[in-house]
Amino acid sequence: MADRFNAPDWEREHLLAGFDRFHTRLVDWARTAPSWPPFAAAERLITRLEPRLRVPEIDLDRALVIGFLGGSGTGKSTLFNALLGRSISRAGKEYRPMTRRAIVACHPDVDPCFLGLDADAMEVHPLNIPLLQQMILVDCPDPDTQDPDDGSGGQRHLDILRTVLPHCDVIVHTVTSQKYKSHVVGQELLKNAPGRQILYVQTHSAIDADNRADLRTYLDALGLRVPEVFRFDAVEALAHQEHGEPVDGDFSRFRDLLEHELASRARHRIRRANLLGLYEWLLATIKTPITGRLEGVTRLEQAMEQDRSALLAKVRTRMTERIDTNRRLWRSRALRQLTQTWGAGPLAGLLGLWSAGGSLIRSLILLRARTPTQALLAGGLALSQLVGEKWRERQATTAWAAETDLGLTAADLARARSVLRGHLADAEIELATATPASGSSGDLSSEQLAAVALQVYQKLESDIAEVIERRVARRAGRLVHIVFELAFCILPAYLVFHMGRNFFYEHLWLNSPLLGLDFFFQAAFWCLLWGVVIGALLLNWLNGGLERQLKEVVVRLSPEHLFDALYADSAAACQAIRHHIDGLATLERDLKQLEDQVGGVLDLGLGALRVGSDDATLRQIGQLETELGPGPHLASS
Amino acid sequence: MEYSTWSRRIADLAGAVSRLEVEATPLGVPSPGSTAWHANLFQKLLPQVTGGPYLIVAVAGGTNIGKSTMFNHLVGFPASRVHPDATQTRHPVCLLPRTFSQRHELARVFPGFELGSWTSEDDAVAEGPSNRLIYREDASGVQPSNLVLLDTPDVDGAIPVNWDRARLISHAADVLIAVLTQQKFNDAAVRRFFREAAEADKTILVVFNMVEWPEDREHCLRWLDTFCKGTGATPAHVYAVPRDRTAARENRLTFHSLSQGATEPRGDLAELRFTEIKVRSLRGALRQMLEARAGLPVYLEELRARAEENREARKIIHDTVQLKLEAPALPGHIVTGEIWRWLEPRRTRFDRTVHKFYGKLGGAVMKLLPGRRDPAREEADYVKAEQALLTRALEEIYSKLELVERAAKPVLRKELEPVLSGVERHRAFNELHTRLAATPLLTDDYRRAISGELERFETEHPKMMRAIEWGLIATAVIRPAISIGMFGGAELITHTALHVGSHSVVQVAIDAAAGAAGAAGGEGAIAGLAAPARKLIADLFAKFYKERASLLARVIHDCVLGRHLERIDRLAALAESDDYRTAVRIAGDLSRELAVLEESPSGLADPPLAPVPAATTTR
Repeated sequence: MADRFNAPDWEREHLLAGFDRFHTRLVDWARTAPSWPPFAAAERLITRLEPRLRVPEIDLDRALVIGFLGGSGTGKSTLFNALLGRSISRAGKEYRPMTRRAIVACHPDVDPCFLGLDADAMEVHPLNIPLLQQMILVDCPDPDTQDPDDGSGGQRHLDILRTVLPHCDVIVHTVTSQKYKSHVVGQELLKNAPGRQILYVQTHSAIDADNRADLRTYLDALGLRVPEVFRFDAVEALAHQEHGEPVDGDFSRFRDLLEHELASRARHRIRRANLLGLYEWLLATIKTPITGRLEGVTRLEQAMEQDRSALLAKVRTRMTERIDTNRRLWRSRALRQLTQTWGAGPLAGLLGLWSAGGSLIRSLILLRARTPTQALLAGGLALSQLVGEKWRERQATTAWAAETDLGLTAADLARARSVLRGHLADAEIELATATPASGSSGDLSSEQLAAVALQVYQKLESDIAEVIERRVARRAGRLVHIVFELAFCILPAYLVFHMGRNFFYEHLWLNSPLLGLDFFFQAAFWCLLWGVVIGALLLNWLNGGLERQLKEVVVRLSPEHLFDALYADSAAACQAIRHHIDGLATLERDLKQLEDQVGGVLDLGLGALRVGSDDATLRQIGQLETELGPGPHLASS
Repeated sequence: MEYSTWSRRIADLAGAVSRLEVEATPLGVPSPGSTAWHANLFQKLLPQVTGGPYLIVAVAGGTNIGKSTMFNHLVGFPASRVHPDATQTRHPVCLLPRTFSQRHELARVFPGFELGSWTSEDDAVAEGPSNRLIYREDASGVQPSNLVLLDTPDVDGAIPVNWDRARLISHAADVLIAVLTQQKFNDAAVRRFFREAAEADKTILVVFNMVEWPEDREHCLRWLDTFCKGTGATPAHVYAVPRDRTAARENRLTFHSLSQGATEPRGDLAELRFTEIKVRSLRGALRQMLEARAGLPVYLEELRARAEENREARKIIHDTVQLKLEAPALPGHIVTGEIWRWLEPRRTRFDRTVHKFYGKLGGAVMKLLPGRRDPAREEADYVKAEQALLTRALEEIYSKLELVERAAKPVLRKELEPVLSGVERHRAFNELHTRLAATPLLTDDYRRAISGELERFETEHPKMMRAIEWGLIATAVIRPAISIGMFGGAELITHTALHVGSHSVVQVAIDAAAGAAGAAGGEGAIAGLAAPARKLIADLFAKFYKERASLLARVIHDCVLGRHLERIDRLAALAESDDYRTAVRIAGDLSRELAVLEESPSGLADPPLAPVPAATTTR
């Protein structure tokens, strides 16, 4: 079994697997697209091209299909006959159009039914000649004498042409002096260029001037690669062959290229290159509208960013104001933290007493706290949660009772909401949650704002707690504690010493009078005073700059974290679109890799759609595709 | 039918149509500039019915088949450059008979073209504006005196703008010289071009160029047959020109006649029956212009349909985009303060003293009362509430427009789409805020309005002035209902409204009766007043709110909808304009007369148009 595969076979299998993988990925990519019009268009295009995108092994081995495309009277049939060396297709100038059916010349073994034509739309000539060993020639009707305005009869030849061309691997484009710039033919060629190789021939060389330079310019402007234009006279070539004379150089070169180079040696390469070309064109075609319409998404993102910053600025201003007006509340909080950290000690005891008195006042304030900020600055997390819950409840019932506290007004939200909806419509994003009846977009709703407000409070609360804790830890550590305790104890210690000396030494020994009651009063007074001075020093040391730090906490509130919730759905939609576009970039990389493995066909002198042709060409083809519709273009059986 | 009547009618019709076009095209109705009927009217009928008679002969055909060669042969010298590459002739070249430009105004003969005088045969292939036409007057006098010869660009090449030029010229022409070759006699583009000419009854001369003579002789007849069947033309003369490069270069082509009486085109052209051809081609042009499926009637019908569509759109917007606002309570002192100020110089000394006393007393009492509010604070709150109200109103307008857009026809949707874009909305909201911030609560306009109202009231009800002087209205506060609508939609909501037709399409209406009249202590105060005084107060407040709401209306007009609504309005009015009626009437008259003419067999012999004097050839 294994010896049936030799090295080239392996290589081929490998490549085929690569194509299959790429195909699967592409289809998956199209299927998993988030809902966005350009993606939907891409999916439609991929679905339509599906039959041409798959490459079963048998297709690679099939004989090379060569089709003829050119204006009426440009010598398609004559060239067809000249290549075969005999008159098969009726050629001449008696009538226009001459060829009204697809004339197929193929080896007797080949069944040309894959062209998808009815029996009366094609004429099959089985010929057992060496040229047709690996090649099928199809002479097609012309695209330029047919006028769809003439009714169904006029459309018929065009239909035959458009059914045949998608099956061709190589198109031979014949032109003459009179017809090389025909608009209709140019458009037809362009439409069929993706995924095909093209050979250009100027016929009637015996009687016409050489227009190859101008032809090249014209084709180049259409977005086609033109490595070589052959120029010969097929009538003469056929006559020479019929008389058994040698044919002239350009024609024999052309025939050799078809027969030896393309059909036998490079057949697989051409097929693969065609497929790659088709994929490349497909990706570029998909990408153009996506990139174009991504602008809308980018604008949406920028607008959200701006709005978020604007909202945050308002919240910041409001919160900073609050910190200014509620100075006492957070100072007492710092004091409480201090007494908790220090524990025992005379000064600590005194401060504890003070703090207890403070919390009595605070609880009184709490009773009066009307806004969550006040409550929050005074109390702890549990309280803020409680208040938040309450606030949320209130939100639900009376929509904007507490609005002023966050610094955001109904007007702000209404405006942001409306603008957001506009940007969403611009970006063509349709949110699942958007309900036009209620007029709310899902994003920026009152419920969301309530959630955000709670989040803001919690964040502020934890940040403030942290700031105060850190400050107390740093400014009022053990050393500071000892220093202040010692400083505080100096006066009482001196007083104790003074009283001891008075009692034991001066009174018992020197019979001096005992210190009177007034001394004790004075001592107590001085102790208190001393305590207040030391305490004030301590608190000043503790609180200095605290206000600034608290304001910094407010400034540190980042728009991303807090206001993401407000724009959750829209942001998610943008993200999904961007992510999916990244998927397209990955596909492009994969295709590039595949291309490197396959190698191009540039060395063969074949023309094709220019790689990375300009957007104008792509748009033009896309337009043609949509105008003409899938109809006969894909009418393969 | 009198000649002058015809020419006046054509001129009237052309005038009405061009005015309609000027009005309709900027409004998004596709310009008819490239249609056959338009060309027939403006290129052919208008210049040729109203001016003196002459015959235009144009050489036409596909690209690179020897049109310019043929033209050079006709005029007898290399007038248009012959080039081996295709699509080289960019500009039509025109050979005029001697003194033609003195007899006719060229700009009217070739409307829509930028005329350039001939300098060399390279003019035709030179770069230049796409509508340039090169002309040269025949100095030798060989050319028949009312025969104008023209070379045209191709009709099938890769530059579509050439086709349009060729069609314009062919519509102006009376005689076409169709240059055909064996490759091109049956191409769809060529066929279509000559079919249009044949339908307009133009005289066609067929020249088969690059023929292998004599072996193609038989073929030529077959080709001619296919050509005639495909286009419906009956060529007056048919020639075959053998392929002969040298002869072409030296401008001495050989013409083989393929039809009876044909000798050589130059001579045959001079022999043509000018009058008959002219009459036929003019009538053909008239017929093509009035053609029911693609002619002027279609354009008029489109205008009517557009107008209808836009009337519908106007109705939808009118019915849907309207809203009613509940105005926030205005701090009482704003209006009453103004009233006091107005009263101040009119009071007696006694009144003033008494009032001063009560004012002081009231002030002192108010200070002691809990819940007293600072006027400045009150104003700030009002401004805030008003801003919120108007912002939300704008949001609502937008969501209503969204509803309209969802349900709208494509035309209206296209109109509304840019309005609803995020950037535009942002701009509108910003504008509203800026304008609100820039407008003080008490504007000079409002001050003037108040004193005007009061003065009028004083003259009408001198007795009641007393009540006002005594300050019964001091605490009256009225909150009227404000409604905003489009195209008069505001009136739908309020019936007895104070009409504020500030803008043509966006309106504000104020209804004091429908609003919450009186807040807090105001109710009693209002109830105590007699009807005229009550109305006065209501009016004063209404005026205030009107001024504020018009701000929003103006923003809606300037930044949101105005431009588009005006366009809808103008489009809706299109089918009612005089020009439209004139065009329809004249087109109808002309069609009827044309039908009568075509029925009577004598129509051809008895031309309805000015008789063209028999051609006088100078050779």
